[in-house]
Amino acid sequence: MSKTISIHSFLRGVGKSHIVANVASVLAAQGKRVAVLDMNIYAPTLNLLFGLGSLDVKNSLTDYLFGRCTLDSAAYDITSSLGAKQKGKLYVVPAEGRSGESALLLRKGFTVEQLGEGAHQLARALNLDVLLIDNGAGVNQETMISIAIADSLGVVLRLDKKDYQGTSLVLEIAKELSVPHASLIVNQAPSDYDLSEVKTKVIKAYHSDVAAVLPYSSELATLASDALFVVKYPNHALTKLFKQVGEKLM
Amino acid sequence: MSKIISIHSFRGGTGKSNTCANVTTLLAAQGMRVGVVDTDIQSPGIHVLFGMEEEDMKHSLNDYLWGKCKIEECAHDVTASLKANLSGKVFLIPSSIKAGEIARVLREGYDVGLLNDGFRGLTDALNLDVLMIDTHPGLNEETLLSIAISDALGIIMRPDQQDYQGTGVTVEIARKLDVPRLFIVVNKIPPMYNTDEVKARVEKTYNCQVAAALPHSDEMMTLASAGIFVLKYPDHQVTQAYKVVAEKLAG
Repeated sequence: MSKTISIHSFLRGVGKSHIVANVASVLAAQGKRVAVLDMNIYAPTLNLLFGLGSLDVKNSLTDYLFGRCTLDSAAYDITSSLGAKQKGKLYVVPAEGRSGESALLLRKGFTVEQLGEGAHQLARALNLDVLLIDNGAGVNQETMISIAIADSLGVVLRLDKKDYQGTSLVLEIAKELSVPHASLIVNQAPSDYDLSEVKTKVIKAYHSDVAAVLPYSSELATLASDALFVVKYPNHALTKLFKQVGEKLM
Repeated sequence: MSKIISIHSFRGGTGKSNTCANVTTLLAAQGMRVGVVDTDIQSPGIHVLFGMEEEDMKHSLNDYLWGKCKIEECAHDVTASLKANLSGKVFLIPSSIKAGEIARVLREGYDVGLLNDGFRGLTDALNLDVLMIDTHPGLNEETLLSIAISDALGIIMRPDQQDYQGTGVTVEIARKLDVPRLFIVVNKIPPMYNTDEVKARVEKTYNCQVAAALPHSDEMMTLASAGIFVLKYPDHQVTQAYKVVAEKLAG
């Protein structure tokens, strides 16, 4: 049975997409069959991170939600970007292709059923172990639909005061929508902080599990969206933490 | 003559609100009466930097947009709360942080034209020297309006592929909309980069002046929007850079 993991945040720019891309990559490297769905319709990010140019994209999530294709026909096999001889599989479903119709889609909206069915069909067609969904930030109709279909929810936050109230809100919504499991992922913690202390404080403040506290990494900041961190730095401490996040979310 | 200065970025997480709040404070420190409006209604944040909690918010921008009050009734004088003996004034017009009100805006939308009227109303009623607009990221109806009416525009970006293309589009549009003073601020530059080199490269790429190239700062990250950086670290390199940004934008 495939697991659906949804990754959210209240604020923008907290590092969701990098976390999704890197966690997906380590899971695939461990032999799992993984698909990543870019639901960040306002600001697609994953095709850049996975080196998928817009010219390569024929079908996308947007095409599926407009009823033009199946979701698995919008899945692109990018296992080779992890390096040669991989045990698992990595697919990415981009948010939109060349059509640029995302704005129309947002106006039209879509339903829980549409996304749920698509996810189900994708998992069957590709024989997935895990479907990771990268969402846009904030609380809105699209993100709530994605939370509703998740088996496991990861909420990303930084230790920034602007984040605090909103993150509580996301966790509340997850509770109301009966998500089986939700945990926090603290990102970009200042490097001189005691990470285990941060973990304890965050668990206490939110009454929620914490999958990991990821420290700010200047290597990751420098690499930015040019390549996958876990591929470039396979033995880095941060890569181990991405593995930990993957384990906890599974 | 009062000025309108917009602070914009294509993506989120670039440091827009922090830049806006710090530039606001620097201008008020020079004796100006400065208004700052949080137009990021879906994701309000700048009020946090000025130490404002939910119970302190008498009225928000949302109330004005729904016709419940006049725009000046949404202005909160936060000058004293900054505890910095500023010779000028800071008036904050926050967006609501009540989940129900945010949801309502998402469902119903609002009249963007009212925003424009609001900006004019504020400048007159409060006798402002400068009106700072903290915009919603990306290009949409509200942000285009803010850009169109601005005397100066600061576009915040990080040195990340995700920001490059969108920033280019924004610069083009700002040019087409004839914004008199247009600057890029490159923010959160990782330690391995030479900020002068980054500045030169970005200026060349966009054919647009870079007001400042700000290095990633551990102090800024640790402060974590709990307050105004330039007040806490008056002699810091980043504060000096913010002063240059304020000068360039205010003209």
